[in-house]
Amino acid sequence: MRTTYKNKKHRFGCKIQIALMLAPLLALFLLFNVYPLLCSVFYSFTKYNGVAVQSFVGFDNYKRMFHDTSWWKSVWNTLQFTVMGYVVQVPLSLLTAVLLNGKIRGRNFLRTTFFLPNVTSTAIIGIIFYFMFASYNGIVNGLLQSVGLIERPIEWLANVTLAKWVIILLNTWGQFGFFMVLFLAAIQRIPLELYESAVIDGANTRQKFTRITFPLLGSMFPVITMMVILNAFQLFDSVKVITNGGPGNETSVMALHIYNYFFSTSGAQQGYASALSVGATVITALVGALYLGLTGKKFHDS
Amino acid sequence: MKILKYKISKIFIYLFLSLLLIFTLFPLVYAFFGSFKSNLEFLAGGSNIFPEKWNIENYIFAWREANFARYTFNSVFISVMTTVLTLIIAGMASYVLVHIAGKMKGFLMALMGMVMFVPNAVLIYPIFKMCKMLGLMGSLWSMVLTQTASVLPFTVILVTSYMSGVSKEIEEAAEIDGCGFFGIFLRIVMPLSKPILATSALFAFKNAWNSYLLPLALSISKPELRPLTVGVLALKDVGEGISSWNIMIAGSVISIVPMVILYIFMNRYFIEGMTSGSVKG
Repeated sequence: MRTTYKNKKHRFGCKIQIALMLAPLLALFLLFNVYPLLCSVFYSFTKYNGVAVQSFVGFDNYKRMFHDTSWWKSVWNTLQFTVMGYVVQVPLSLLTAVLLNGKIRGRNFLRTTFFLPNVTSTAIIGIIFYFMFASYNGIVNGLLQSVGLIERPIEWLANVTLAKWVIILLNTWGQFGFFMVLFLAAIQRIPLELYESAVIDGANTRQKFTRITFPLLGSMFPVITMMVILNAFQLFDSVKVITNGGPGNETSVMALHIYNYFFSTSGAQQGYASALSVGATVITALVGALYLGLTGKKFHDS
Repeated sequence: MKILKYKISKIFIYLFLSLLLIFTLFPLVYAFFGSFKSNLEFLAGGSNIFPEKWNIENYIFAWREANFARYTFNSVFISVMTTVLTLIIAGMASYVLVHIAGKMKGFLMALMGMVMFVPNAVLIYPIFKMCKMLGLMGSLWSMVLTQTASVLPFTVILVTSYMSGVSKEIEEAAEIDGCGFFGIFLRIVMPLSKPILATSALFAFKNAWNSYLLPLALSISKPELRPLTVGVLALKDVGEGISSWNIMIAGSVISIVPMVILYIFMNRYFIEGMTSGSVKG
C-alpha cells in the first residue's frame, strides 16, 4: 500500500475497502476458473456419469487415453491445424502489414476492413462458409462451374483434406487482420532514421525489408506464435460448425473430442472426458513450453 | 526502366490487396444479399450473389416463427450485462491491484495469466455443474456470470497496466483534499482510465456477443435461453435441415450487423485495445 495512508484508523478502513473491491473478482475467478480446473483433475481419477462419482479408478482413465486412437487422431489434427494455420496466416499478415505501411491509396480503409473479421463470430461465419462450400448449391462451386474451371461440383466437406483446408481458410479469414495489426504496430515502432540512413547507403526496398524490418520484428514473432498456438488449441467453433469432426472422426480436434464425451446424449463419460481435459491442458502447456524453450535462448542472444 | 519496374510492382501490390479485400468482404456480402433470397432461390445455388427478387420474408419468419426475437433479446441482455459487470469488477480490482504489493498480488496475476492458456473446452463441464449447483441453470445470469469470468483475467491484466500509469500526484492531491480510497477510485482514477475502459467494454461485449461454446453448453436443455449464435446453429442439425437455410442466413445477418455497425463507429478502440493488450502481455 502506498505510504500516504499513515493514519491507523484510516488504514483499517482502507483494508476493508480493499477486500470488498477485490472480492467480486476473486469470487468469479475461484468459482468459474480455479474450481473447475481442480474439479477436472479430481474427476479424472474417477468413474463419473455426471450424477454421482461411482468409484475411484486411479489412473485407468489415463491408461485408456493412451490407447484411444481417435483421441490421438484429434490431437494430431489439432497440431496440424496449428502448423498449417501458422504457415498460411503469419506470412500473409506480415506481407499485408508491410504493404500497408507503405504509400498505398486507401490504406486506412484497407487496414480497418482487414481487421473487421475479428469482431464477427467464428461460429456464425462458419455457417456462412458451410453454405458457401456446400456441394450442390454452394456459391464456390457455382462460381467455379460458371467460369469453367470445374465440370462437376467438388464435395468440399466430404473430403478430409479439402474439409481441413476450408477450416484453415475460415480461421485465416478471421485472424490474419488481427496479426496484421500486431505486425503494423511493431513496424511502426522501428525508428525511421534507420531507413533514412539505409537509403543514403544505397539500400533498395528488398534490402530494407530483409536487413531492417524483418530482424527488428523479432519481438513480435514470439507473441504472434504463442497466439497461433493458443488459438489452435482452443479450436472448437469452426470445426464444430463446418464438419462437426466428420467425415467419420477425421477432422476432429481436442476440444471437440472432449466436448462430445462431456455432453454426449448417448451415455456421457465425464470421468474419462476429465482425463482428456487434463491431457489437453498438459499438451498445450508442453507445446507452449517447448516453443518458449526453443526460442527463448535465441532471443536472449540477439 | 526503373520507373517501369516500379509501376509493375505497384500493379501487383494493388492486385494482391484487391484480392485480399474481396476475400475479406465476400462472406459478409454473400450472407447479406443471400438473406434476401427466397429459400428456393438460395437452395438452387448457382453463381448469383444478388437475389433475383428481393424479399424480406426470411427475416419476418425468423423473427416471428423461429424465435429469433427471443434469441436477439438474450444476446443483447447477456452482452450488455457482461460488459457492465466486467467494467465494474475489473475497474475496482485493477485499482486495488495497482495499490497493493506483495506475494498475493504476484500470485494472483500469474494465476490469471496462466488460466488464459487453459483451453475453454476443459473448463466447460465443471462450469456447467457449478451453475447447476448455484441454481443458475434456468436463467440468463448463468451465461452473464460465466462470460464475465472468462473475460476478467485478460481485462484485469490490461486495466491494471493502464492504471499503474495514472499520475500519483493527482491521487495524492485528491487525498489531501479529503478524498477517501474509494472516492479517489470513483472520481479520479476511473474517469482518467476512460480509454482503456472503452477498449475493455468493447472486448467484453464482443466476446459475449460472439461466444458459442459456453452458451451452447449452458442452454443445452433450455432452448429459450439461446443467444443468436446458438440459435442460428441449432437449426443446422434439426430434422428439417436444408429447409431452414434461409432462416439461418437471416439469423446470421441479424447477429453480424450490430457488431459491424459498432465496429464502424468504434474501430479505433477495437484495434488499439487488441494491440496494446498483446504487445504488453
